[in-house]
Amino acid sequence: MITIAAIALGAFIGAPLRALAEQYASRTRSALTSLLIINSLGSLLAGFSLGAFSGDVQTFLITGFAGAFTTFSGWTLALSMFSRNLIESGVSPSARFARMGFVIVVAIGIPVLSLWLGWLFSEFLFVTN
Amino acid sequence: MREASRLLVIGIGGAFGALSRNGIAQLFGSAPIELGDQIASFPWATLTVNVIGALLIGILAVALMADGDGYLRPFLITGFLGGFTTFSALALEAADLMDNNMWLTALVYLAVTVGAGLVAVQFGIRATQRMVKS
Repeated sequence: MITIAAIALGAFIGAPLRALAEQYASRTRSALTSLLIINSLGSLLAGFSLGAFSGDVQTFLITGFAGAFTTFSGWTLALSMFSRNLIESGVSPSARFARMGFVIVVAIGIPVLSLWLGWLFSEFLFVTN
Repeated sequence: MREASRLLVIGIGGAFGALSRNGIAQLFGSAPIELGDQIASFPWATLTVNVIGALLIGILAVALMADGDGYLRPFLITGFLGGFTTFSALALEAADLMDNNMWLTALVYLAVTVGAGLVAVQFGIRATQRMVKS
């Protein structure tokens, strides 16, 4: 019961915070870059929480907060808009695939690296073995 | 005030989304992840959640175009689907697979999630556009 409440509360804070971060970042950056920053920050926190916390606090931070702060569905929507814009601007198919490939690799690579960094940092702070 | 109520609606949607994601993880019997524990399995639950979420966001992005400044978009798209789907769990599970030297599985997991997610969102957009037009 407490676990369910921890998830709900974490997401209740994480989702609006994403909306605010997106609003703020999109003033100067593209939707894809805004989401890259958001997803990387959320992954950094999830990795850190994995090593630094346990039990319901960890569930609150990882499943609730970071889970709702980051988003996959919004990213696929932003990526299909990006793809459509490339097509409409008349970019050649090979250049289009190269740019899509680059964007996808960066959008996944940086959050995964952030997650590792967050986890390594928590291990560095709380070495138990 | 209007901004505050929009954020509140997003928060409620996000909470429902995250609880639904957790419910699906329970259905799949997913165990909590730990790095360095030599245990990793293919993350079917998150894959399912993210692909369904991508399909729904494609459908809703077109279907709710007329909603304009209403509360349905913040509640369903930014709130519910944003909270339902997740990128941090994707990164976490990929890292857990890599931590167990299952590099190929990790790559397959990431590639399938992105590939199926993109197909799902495109399918959602096009099918709904067709329905809206007719």
